Amino acid sequence: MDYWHIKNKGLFDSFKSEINKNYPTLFVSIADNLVYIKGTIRIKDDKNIVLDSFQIEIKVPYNFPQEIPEVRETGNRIPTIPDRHFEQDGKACLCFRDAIFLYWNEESTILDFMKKLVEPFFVWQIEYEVSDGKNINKAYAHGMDGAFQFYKEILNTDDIKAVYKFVEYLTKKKVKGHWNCYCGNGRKMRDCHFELMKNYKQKIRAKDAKKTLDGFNQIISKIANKK
Amino acid sequence: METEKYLEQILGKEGLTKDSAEAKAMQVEKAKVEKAISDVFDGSPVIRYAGSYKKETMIRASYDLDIVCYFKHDDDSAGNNLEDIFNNVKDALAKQYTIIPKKSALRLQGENKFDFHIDVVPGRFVDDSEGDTFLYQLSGDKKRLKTNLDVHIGHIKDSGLTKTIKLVKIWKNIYSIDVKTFVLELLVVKVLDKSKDDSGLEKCLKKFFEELSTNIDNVSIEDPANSGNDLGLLFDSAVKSSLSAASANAIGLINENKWEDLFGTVEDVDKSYVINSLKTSNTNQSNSPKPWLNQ
Repeated sequence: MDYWHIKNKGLFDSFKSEINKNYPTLFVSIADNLVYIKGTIRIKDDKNIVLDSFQIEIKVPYNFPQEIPEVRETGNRIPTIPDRHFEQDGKACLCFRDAIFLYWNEESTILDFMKKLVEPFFVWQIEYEVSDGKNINKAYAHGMDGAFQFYKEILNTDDIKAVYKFVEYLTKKKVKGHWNCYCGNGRKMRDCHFELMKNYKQKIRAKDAKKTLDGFNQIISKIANKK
Repeated sequence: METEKYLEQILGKEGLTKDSAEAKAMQVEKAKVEKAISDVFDGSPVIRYAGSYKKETMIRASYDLDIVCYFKHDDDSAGNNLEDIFNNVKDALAKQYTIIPKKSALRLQGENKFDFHIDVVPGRFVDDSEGDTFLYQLSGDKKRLKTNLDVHIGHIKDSGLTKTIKLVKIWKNIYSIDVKTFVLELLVVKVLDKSKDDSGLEKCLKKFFEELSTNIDNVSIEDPANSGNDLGLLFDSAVKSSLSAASANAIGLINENKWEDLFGTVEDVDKSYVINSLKTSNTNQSNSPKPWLNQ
């Protein structure tokens, strides 16, 4: 297996340097050939006042930065329950799966990951605690309901059929201009939402969209079976 | 602020004493465990505190209730051999708790979720002196381990380094360092050798982190109660690598006088400040990704 930190020493050096410089309470270590970031993340406001801190462990995948790291809270402070957006094995759900690559690409650095995905997640956790969970509307619903929410938001529509078609197009190798637009107004893609489609097609991975489409199809089957 | 004063304040904030509410909650649970055991066994085993409570090295962020349950060497009320003792104590406690067997301990989980783990270690004294004790080991090469609670406690409690140990435990906790507290305690005592808390906490911490960051491969530790107890698995190359990297980071922070990055702040910010800051600060941006859960 080609481990990124061995294959690309320069990248690993800048990775360590970014963590050391920006997060003095975190440190980088290697175990079983995988890179970990461990320690405490301090969430600060504009005045550099520490609002709160969380003990975390970040496991960096062997093929970083193609895949994003996994984050866990290790201080047993946050219950690993769905409402706090942790999976049963303690992995934090930083963001809706399909949306991750709106904030991340193969050029991104560990600092981008920390600033764009990790810190906002823990800001949300602080807000959850100080508001006794009243910020739940600032998160997506669990499962496919949240997936619908996300796509409805980016497409600015409540039309479920349009959302379904859009996700279906995302799973294709290429979206053709002569296809009917996902929005359902009867025009061709090239004469309608082609630019928006192309923009998201570049960012949202087909394999992630495929999982979402499968989820949508399962719901449709369940509804059909009930009828 | 002077470093010594700061470190003392951190100990005041993060350390736990036997008078604390947390310790009192532990005392209540210990009494329940003691009753659950003595209700079953006529021989009335010796039930004592062990671990950080007894060593006086408890810290708020991570503390457990460790209890030993030792039978006299000629007491067969819980069984003829160590495995029977382990299993029979487990059965006795299973009437009131859910039991998760560990290597030598029984971890108890009750209906009420405790803020701490409760571990009960069954064993049998080697002889009438009630010092050396044999424990059953659920895993590993040997099924029997000789130990001595008083020696373990004395090694730490009488080391003159309990404050340094507490600070190192706070550091371990903040930095999520994957090392057993038992190993860390032995390392502090070994590395600091003739140093004492009284000679200055800053001095002790510097020496400890410097040694681990630069010379960890030459540091060896030994179970003070049993030199035959192989600690190699608990202090292997992965643990050494992790400790060394974290210690190097600690030395860097100490050299820059960034003690708060090592042990945290003495005072936490007020909740109302946090609420206001979240409303007004760029920290909480509307275009941030929203958490989700794949269900």
